[in-house]
Amino acid sequence: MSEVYGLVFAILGMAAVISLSGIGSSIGIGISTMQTAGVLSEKPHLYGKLFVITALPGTQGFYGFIELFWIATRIGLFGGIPKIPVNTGMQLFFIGLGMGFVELISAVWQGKVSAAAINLVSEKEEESGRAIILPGLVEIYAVISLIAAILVTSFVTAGL
Amino acid sequence: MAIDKVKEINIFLTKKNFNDFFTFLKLQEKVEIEEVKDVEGLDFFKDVNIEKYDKIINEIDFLLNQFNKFEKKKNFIADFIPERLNIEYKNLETIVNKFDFDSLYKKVFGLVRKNEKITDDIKSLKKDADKIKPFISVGYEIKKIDTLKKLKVIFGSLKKSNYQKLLNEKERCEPILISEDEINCYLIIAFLREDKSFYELLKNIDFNEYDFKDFSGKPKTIYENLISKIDELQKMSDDIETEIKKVSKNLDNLKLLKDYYVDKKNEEETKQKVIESKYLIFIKGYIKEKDIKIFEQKVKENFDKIYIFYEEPKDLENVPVSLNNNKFVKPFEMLVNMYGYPKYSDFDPTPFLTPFFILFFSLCFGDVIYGLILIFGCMLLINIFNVHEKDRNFFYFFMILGVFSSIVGVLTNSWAGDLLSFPNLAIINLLEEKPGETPGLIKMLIFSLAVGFVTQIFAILLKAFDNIRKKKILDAIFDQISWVISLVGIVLYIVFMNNPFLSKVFLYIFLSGIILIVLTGGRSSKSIIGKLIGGVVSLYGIVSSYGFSSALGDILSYSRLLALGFSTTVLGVIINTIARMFGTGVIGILIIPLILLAGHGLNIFMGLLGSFVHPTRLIFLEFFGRFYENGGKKFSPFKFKSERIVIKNQ
Repeated sequence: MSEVYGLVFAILGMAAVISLSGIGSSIGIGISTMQTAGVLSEKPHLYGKLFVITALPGTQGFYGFIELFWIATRIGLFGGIPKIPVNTGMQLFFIGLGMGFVELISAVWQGKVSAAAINLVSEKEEESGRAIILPGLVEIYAVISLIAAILVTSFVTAGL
Repeated sequence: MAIDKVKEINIFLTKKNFNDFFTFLKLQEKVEIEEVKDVEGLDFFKDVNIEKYDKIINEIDFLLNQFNKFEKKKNFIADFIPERLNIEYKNLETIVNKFDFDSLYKKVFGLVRKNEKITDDIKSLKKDADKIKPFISVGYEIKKIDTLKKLKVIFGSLKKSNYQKLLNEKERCEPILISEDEINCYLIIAFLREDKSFYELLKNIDFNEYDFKDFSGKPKTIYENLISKIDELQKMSDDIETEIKKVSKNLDNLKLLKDYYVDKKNEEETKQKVIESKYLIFIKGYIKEKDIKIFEQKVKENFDKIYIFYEEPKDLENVPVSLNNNKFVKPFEMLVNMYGYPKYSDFDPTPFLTPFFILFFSLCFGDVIYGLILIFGCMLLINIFNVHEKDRNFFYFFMILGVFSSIVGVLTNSWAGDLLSFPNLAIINLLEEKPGETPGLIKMLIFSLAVGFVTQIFAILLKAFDNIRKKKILDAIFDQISWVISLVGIVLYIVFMNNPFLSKVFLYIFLSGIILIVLTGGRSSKSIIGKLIGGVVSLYGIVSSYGFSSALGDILSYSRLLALGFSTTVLGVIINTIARMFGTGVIGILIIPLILLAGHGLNIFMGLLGSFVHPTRLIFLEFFGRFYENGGKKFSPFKFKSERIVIKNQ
C-alpha cells in the first residue's frame, strides 16, 4: 500500500515543479511582453531585437519540464506503473516543490528585469547586446536550482 | 599585440584646398578627426551651413513618409539583416546632382496638401450625410418645414431611453418619430414659438437639435447629392494617391539622396572641429601607424601645398583604440565591443577570451546535429540574403561555434538528443549510469568546475602578465602569483588526497601561498597591525578584489555549463520520446517529422539563447572581473556616415 503513496508523492512533486515554474514563466513573459508591446507601438522596427529579450523569462517553464521528465525517467514512469517507497516519493515531492518556488520567483523577477532591459533598448538601440545579458543575471538561480534538483533526484532514486 | 599602434596626425593646408581635401579625407576613411584643444587666440572653422542640410533632410523625410506605404514589406528574417549598398562616391554624386528634388518635392507637397483638403471635405460631407440620412423618408422641401407663424418645427435626435420623457410633455409639443436605430430615435418636434422654456426641457432630456439651414430640397435629394459628391471627391483623392504612387518609384534614389545629405551634414559638423586662421586650416587627429604610408602617398598624388607631421600620442587615456585580430578571432571582437573597449595602454582581451567562449558555448549547446544546423543555417542565410561582407562576422561567429558544438556533441553522445546514438565515440555520456561507475552527470559537473578553475587561474595569470608589462612586478607576485600558488596547491591537494607524499607536497605549496598572501595583502596599510589585519582579511576577498569566497563562488558559477548542456540534451530526448510514442504506423510517419521539426527547432532557439547569454556572462563577470578594465574609445575614422551605404574605394 505504501508503494502507491510513494508514486502519489512522486507525481505530486512533478506536478509542483511543472506548475510553479510554468506559472512563473507565464507571469514573467507576461511582464516583458507588455513592455515590448508598448515599445513596439512607437518603434515597430525593434521587433527583432526585442523578441529575444522578451522570450528570456520563458526558460524557467522549460527547466521545470526537464525536471519533470527527469523524475519520470528516474522512477521508470515510462515503463508502466512503478513501485516507489513512500520516503523516496516524499523526497521527490520536496525536490519538486523547492525547485518550483525558485523557478516561480526567478521567472517573475526576470520578467521585470527584461522589461527594464527592453526600455534600455528602446532608448538606445545599439545597447541590445548588453541588454540581453541583464536578465541572464537573474536566470542563474533558476539554472542552479535545476542542477541541484537534477543531482538530488539522481541521488535519491539511485536505488530504484 | 592586438591593439593597433596609433599616431597623432597634424595637417596644415591652405583654405583654398580645404573643401576638396576634406572630402578626400572622408573617402580615405583613415583619420579620426579630433577637436583641437588649447585654441588660445585661434578660432574654430565657422563657415558651415548645417541648417541648409537640416531643411533638405526634413523635406526628404516628408517624401519618404509619403512613399513608405508603397514599399514592399520585408519578411521577419530579412529584418534582422542590415541593408547595405555598395556605391562609388562619384556615382552617388551624379545621382544626387541629376535628381530634380525641388520639383519632386513641390509636386508631392502640393498633391499631399490637396489630398488633405479633400479628405477634410469628405469628412464634413459625411457628417452632414449621416445627419440627414435618418430623415430621408420626410417628403417635404426642408426649407418650407419651419415656416409656420405660431409653431416652431425642429429636427433632431434623442436617446431612446429619454423618448418617454418627451412623450410625457405631449400637451406642450407634437413629436413625430421619423426613424430610429439601436441607440437614438430621430424626431421632428413642433411646439409653440412663444413657449421659450421648451428649450429648457429639450436640454434636460439631451435632445440634440440638427441644423439644416444650409440645405435646400427634399431630404432624400439632399442625401443623394451629398453621397455623389463624396464619391466624386473620393475618386479625386484616389487619383492623387495613384499619382503619388507613380512618383514613388523614385523611392530608392530618394533614400540615396537622404544618405548623401545626412553625410553632408555630418561633414559640416566635423568641420567645426578644425581651426582656421586667415589663410590656413589646421586639422588634428589620429591615424593608424600602418596606414601612414598609403595615406602620404595618396595625399601626394592628389594635392600639393599640404604639410603633415606625425607625433607619438601624449594623452594615452584618450587615444582611440582599434583592435586587430586574425580572421578566426575577429568575430569575437563583438563581445569586447559589447563590454567596452580596452584602453590604449592596455591589451586586447579578444584572443584570450576566444577559446574560453568557444568552450563554454559548445559545452552548453553541444550537439552534433544542432551544431551542423547552425553551420549550414548561417551559410544559407549568408547566401540567400547576400549578406554584406561587413556583417558577415556575426554569422562566422556562430559558424565557428557550430563546429565546436558538433565536436562536443560527438564527445558527449548528443545527436539531436538521442535521435541517433554512437556511445563508442563519446567520452562522457550524460544520460548514462552504470553501477559502480560515476554517473555521466557527475563527471560533467566535475569537468565544468575544472573548466572554471582553469579559466580563473588563466585570468589571474593574465592580470599578473598585465602588471609585469606595466613594471609592477611586486604587485604581480603578491596579488596574483600568490593566489595561483595557493589555489593550485589546494586543488591538487584535494585531488591527491590518497597519496601521502604528493598530498603533503601540495599542502605545503598551498600554505606557502597563504603565507605570502597574509604577509603582503595589507602592504598598503601604514601601521604594522594594519598590515597584519589587512593580510588576513584579504584572504576572504573583503579588502582586495580577490579572495577565497569569490574564488569559490566564481568556480561554482561554472556549473551552469553542465545545466545548460544537460537541458539542451534532455529537451531533445523529450522531443524524441514524444515523437516515438506515435509508432511506425501511417499516423506516425505523418506526424513524427512535424513533431521533430517543431520540437528541435524550438530547442535550438532556446539553446542558442541560453548558450549565448550564460557564456557571455561567464566571460564578462567571472573572466573579465579578474583582469580586464574597459574604458577605451573605439577608433572611428572620419568617413561617409551611413548605416546603409558602403562607399567603394576607387
